[in-house]
Amino acid sequence: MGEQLLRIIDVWKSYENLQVLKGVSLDLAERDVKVIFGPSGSGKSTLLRCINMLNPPDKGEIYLRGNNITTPKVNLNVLRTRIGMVFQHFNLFAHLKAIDNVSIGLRRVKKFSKQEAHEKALEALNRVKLVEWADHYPAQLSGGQQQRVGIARALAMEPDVILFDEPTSALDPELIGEVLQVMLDLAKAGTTMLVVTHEMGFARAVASEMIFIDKGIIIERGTPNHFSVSPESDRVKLFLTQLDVLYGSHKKLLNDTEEEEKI
Amino acid sequence: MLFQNLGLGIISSVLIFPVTIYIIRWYSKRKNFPSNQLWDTSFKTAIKSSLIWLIMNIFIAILFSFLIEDIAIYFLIHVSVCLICNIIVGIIIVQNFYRKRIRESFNFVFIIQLFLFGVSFLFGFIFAIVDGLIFPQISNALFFILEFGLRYTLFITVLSLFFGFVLGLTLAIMRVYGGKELYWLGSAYEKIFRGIPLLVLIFIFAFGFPGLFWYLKPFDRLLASVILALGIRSGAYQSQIFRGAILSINPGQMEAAQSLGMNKIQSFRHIVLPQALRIAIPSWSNEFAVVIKDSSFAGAIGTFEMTFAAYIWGFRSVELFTLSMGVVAVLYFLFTFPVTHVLGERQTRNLKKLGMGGS
Repeated sequence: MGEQLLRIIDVWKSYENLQVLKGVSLDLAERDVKVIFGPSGSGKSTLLRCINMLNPPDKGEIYLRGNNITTPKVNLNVLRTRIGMVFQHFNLFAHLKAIDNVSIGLRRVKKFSKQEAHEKALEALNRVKLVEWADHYPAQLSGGQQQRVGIARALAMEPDVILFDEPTSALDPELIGEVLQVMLDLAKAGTTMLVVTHEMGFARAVASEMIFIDKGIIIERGTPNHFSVSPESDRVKLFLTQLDVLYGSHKKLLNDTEEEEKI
Repeated sequence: MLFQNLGLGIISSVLIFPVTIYIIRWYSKRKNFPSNQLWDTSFKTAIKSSLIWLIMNIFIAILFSFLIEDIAIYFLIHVSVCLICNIIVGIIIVQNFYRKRIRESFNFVFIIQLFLFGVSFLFGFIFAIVDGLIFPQISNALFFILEFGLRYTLFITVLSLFFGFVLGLTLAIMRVYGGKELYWLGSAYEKIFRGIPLLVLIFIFAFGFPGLFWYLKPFDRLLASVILALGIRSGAYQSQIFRGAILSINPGQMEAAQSLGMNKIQSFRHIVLPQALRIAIPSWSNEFAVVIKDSSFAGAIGTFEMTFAAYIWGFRSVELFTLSMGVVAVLYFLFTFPVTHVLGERQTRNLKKLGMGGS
């Protein structure tokens, strides 16, 4: 392992009385893709929001390219231009067209000229295959297209790392495919990504490591292969069976119910 | 007489023109014409035919204004000749352009002309009243009110709305993003000024503090205190409008803006505020209607505006008073209705298309 792009060391976070993160540590190398998964309420999203300091952690240190970003001296606005974020509910700017959604960060934060920002934004939209939808408002796009605009918005800023916060969990099953395809393409092009998702197929295809979080603690970590063949802890096994039931291999469950009916 | 007739003919013809187009469009919508493309091209021909009608109407107006002196007879003949000519020309046009049989094209043209007849008659009637040809008292009252009242009413409305806008937006931002102290300040302001009658506010600023606008002329002092009172009260209401609009923006929008690297002020300025203002427009149009109507309170302290002008004009007798108040009521309606319709109902529909403003 060479220089780590992102190092998270023993991060703690609580909301009022609720301890959400209880000492999470992980590293992310350049051009690396890691997948975080776990039951809801386990602190996955909070971890991502700690990384780009939308919710600063209570304790612990986060290093981006060797610089500690949890110290108060850091300019958060400059920091956030280096960490892209894709949201579960897209959070596109409803009053702007797709192209302006992508270019507004370039214009207002990076102070690009209108022309330059427009070209850059078109480039980013091209990477998510939405150039012909550039002049549509978010409300006129399907969920999958909206999420792809969200990805393009993060891409256009050319961040060091992009954080995906359950990018497909608010989408219809039919629309998940197009978003995952875009994410696969990005991963193959060498984008550094930290993805919270339950899409095991995506994880198997590109993730170098998978991390299972429950109740604010990393329970188990390993390669996708490790999780599909021999997960160690019972909590992970239970979770993976439940996922399996959801995603297709629910024949066993059906057989069970049929037997019950026969009885 | 010549110029009045000519003007009447030209104005009614010009007004008939958009009405024709609108009716043809409505007719096509009702009949569900299968191909939009086809109807678009035929729409252009409809414009052409309307233009022919327009030229013809003007020509007839000029012709008859030379021949007939009595306005009522002139008007009747004008309308009926227009009607017959329009029907004949219309049938020929429809037959040739749309390839319809004579009976169908007659029905088509006749329906349009029936509407046009009503509309042009109504317009003619209104213009005759405005021009003083029929019921000269109405026209007299109308022009008196417009001459002595209109500019003050608009002046008071625009200035106090602007003043209230600045005040309301500041207070709303204070209440949403400010600390506890600013929140209390904004909320106390709103509670106090929503609880005081407008007339009392106007009396306080006009007579309670007579030296408030010492640098203005005496009459302007009254005007200024009315604007101040209206603006302060409108600010209280507008702060509530903008506060609701800002709060209705999903917090995710702010987060997304910040995740792009915008600071809080940039996120507010470029992301939250534009959306909040769009959402606030329908409620704001209601505030406009309130302020323009409440500008009539200015008359209570002797400032000229539409209501006060109507009051003075109708002061001579009960009948005239009824008439002038009726005229001024119609005037206020004409000023409020288009604004509340366009900014209120249309904007609500537009917002829905953007997925904003919700239900």
